[in-house]
Amino acid sequence: MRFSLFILILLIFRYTSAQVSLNYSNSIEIIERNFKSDTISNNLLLLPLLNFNFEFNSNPALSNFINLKKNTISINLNDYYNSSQEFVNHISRSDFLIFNFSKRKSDKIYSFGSEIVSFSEASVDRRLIKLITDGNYQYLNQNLRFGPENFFKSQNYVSLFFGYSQNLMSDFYCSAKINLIKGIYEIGIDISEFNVLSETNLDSNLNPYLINFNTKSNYYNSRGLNLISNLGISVDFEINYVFRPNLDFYLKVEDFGYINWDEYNYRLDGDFEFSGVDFNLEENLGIEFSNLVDSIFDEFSSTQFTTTKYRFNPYVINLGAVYNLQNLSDNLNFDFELQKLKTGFLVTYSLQYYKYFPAQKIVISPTYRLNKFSYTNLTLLIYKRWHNNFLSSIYFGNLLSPVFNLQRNSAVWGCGFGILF
Amino acid sequence: MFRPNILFFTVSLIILFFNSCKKYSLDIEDWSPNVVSPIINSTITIADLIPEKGTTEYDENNLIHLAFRNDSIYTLPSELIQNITGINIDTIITIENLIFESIDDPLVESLINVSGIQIPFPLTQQIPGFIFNLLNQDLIEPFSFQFEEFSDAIFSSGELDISIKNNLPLQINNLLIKIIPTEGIEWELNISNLPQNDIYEYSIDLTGLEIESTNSIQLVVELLEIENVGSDFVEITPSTGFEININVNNVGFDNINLPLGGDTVDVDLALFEDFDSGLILEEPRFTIKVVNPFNLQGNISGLLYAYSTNDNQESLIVDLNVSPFSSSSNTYYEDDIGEIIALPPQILEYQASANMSFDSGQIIEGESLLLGVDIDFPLSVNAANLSLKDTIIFDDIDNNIERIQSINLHYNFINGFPLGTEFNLILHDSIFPGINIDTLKFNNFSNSEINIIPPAIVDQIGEVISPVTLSGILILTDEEISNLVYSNKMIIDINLSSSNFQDQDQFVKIYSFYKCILKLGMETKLNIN
Repeated sequence: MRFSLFILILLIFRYTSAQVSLNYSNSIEIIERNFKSDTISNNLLLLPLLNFNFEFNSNPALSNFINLKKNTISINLNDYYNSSQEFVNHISRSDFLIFNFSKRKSDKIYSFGSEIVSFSEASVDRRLIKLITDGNYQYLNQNLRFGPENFFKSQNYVSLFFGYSQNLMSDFYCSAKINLIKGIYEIGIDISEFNVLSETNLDSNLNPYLINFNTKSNYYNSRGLNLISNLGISVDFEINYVFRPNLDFYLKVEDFGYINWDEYNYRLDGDFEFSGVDFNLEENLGIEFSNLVDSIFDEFSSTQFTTTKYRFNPYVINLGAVYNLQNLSDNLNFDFELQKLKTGFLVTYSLQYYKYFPAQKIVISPTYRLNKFSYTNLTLLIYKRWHNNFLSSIYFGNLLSPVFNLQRNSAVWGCGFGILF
Repeated sequence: MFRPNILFFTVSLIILFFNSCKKYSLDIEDWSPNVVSPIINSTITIADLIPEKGTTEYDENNLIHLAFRNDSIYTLPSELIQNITGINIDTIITIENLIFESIDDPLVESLINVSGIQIPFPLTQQIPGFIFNLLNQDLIEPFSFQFEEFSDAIFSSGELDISIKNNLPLQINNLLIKIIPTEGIEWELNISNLPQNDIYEYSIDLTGLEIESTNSIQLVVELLEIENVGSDFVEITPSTGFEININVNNVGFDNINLPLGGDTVDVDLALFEDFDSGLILEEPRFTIKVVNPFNLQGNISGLLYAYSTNDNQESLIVDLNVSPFSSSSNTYYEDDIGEIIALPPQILEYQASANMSFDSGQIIEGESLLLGVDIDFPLSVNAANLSLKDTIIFDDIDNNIERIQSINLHYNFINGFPLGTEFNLILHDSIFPGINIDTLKFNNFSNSEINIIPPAIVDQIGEVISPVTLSGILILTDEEISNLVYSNKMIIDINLSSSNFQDQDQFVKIYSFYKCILKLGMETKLNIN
């Protein structure tokens, strides 16, 4: 992987030619923007399986508790807890383009392609982490209450999209995509209520320990892999408005829609007080423990049902402005992004500088990204046009992580390759 | 259009991209939760440890007793008594036997040679008659009839009928026989001229006869003279001789001593196997009784021997009057049998005899005199050390010991037993099921050197008012953890002791429903990396 990235970077710096003036937020979009502004070629083929973007936001930062040792990913749970705040949060999104073909006809661009989107989100109370990592001994006689802030969801789906873009007026440029979606897999846990109480009863007629836990939770996962299950639809659209010759405003909405998930739903609604296995000498202790496990499962896995549920896709809204500098080949982009989460949005502010080197046909674009996961996320996008018809870009972030020991982090990376013809 | 080198580059890039992935393994570090959890609430009742079986019985209040009742540990049937009162003995003295017995005598030997007597006797043979003149009292040794049923008796009535038949081919001229039933008493039979095949009969009145320390009647031939026929030949057969018949009829005894013999009393004393020596019971009761369907009276006396497992012995003298047509009994209490209980006994044996007076006509045919015992030892104990065991099977438990760093077992022991309790768990495994691989001792928490948990609080009559709770912790060593995890059977070893009674005279009752409850929780540090 590293070796291939090294080759890519070498190639990108070797050949470059392009001109872009519109906004972009990742390595795929910058190629599409260049095609839109290109006046020579009428077709763009994004190379199959070589275009993706990945974004990962984590609190605490992965570097705080994950180490790479040779071929081993080591997760230190104690470090994980120690570096966490009230809640741990992890959000990841990846867009993997299977293929994309765009065709220009006069001032209209038609496109179609396919993409795999994966989105995961988790939020866990750090006390729950501590409970898992260090056990319940330290929480003796404390009633631990965990609410709906604790959840996990993950979904991935494949979409087949058809796009269209056109200048509506001299000042407006718009584009739209319709995505026909087939959900591949989803899984999630919603905890409405989860209480744990471990008590000590030394010097009493009770068991020295007593554990009482109750939960109202919901666990779901998708079912059905046939072609007509888990279907959905979403739209992407974008409007650019040229407010001044050197100032554009834009609004983008990506993947706004839903999937009609066929799900197995497990509703956990149980209250269990465990004070030890009641046992007399005529019984087999092993069997009594097995019976206990069975009764726990009976208590907590009582209701399983199938359902069909509409769930919104993790859509993204971008709102921003592009300010063109000097001879319009360099520009400054301010972006306000809303990533739909389970509850609310992840707000990310970006300030992006776009520097074009005409001689090399290369664009170097550093970006400063700011959200609740990271205040120091400096990313760099490098784009190059090769021999006028091969486009490449690479995008990687979190460049300041070696400098700062970050409590939280936000990482992005991606790459894109396309051919104009 | 695509240039070839771009196509080549693209394909190479795709191949490179998908072949440069590295396979990583996931390792979770520093995951050592310290988990506390209740484990078991194990209830152990006295009924588990002392089940009701055999001679171990629960009464209506569930008080445990060693109870044994057998109404016929010894049976004196009417037939046996009738054998005593109606002795009938037949015996034959043959010439052939006399010759055999005296074959070493030179005189007899020469007589055989001279007369040509064939030995053994053929069915018939002719011998000279003078041979019988050589047959006299010297050749007939005294002989006796045994009466095994008794040895001492005073007859209140009865006749001894004796008949002698002459099976010789010649007449008996004179025969003098002394009958000696006991030392100092002799009866004489003086017979004259008893022809061939004739029978002589005689009756002796036994009234007032007293015999001591003997159980036989001796007969001594004092004089024997046979008809002299000179050298005439006579025919003899194997049965040629004398036939003697003795009958004792219509006997009554003012007193007769019947040895009842000795044997092991067939009592299951398994309950006592759990007790150490020094056991003191509050109200033990040992009853010996007799059911007498006959019109006889007297008494039964004997010795009861008790042996402990280490062969210590104690005994009890038993004595019981027997009245006509009635049942009678004699009961022995703590003062008499305390030392036997303290052994505690594992084997009981008896040796007894009966002194009776009765008439033969008073014995009802088909009935029996029954000698029985009734043992009732309620477990109301003062001094007691009681060792009890039971087994817990717990297979099917995951035994991944590598994930266990430490185990501390916290317990609340609720002792409802009225005795100080030593509670141990002995670990066994399936490979060596008979070997104790370790013992977990539940010690007194306040003093780890003392491993006796105090008894429950009892009232004045020795019944439990309230249990006593004791808390403690067992910190298992690595070896103990290993032994615990790999064992699949636990022996509950409970020793109950009165040693820590506050009141030395305190008795406590042991009911089957008394229970102790072990409530066990575990604090364990796991390694789940």
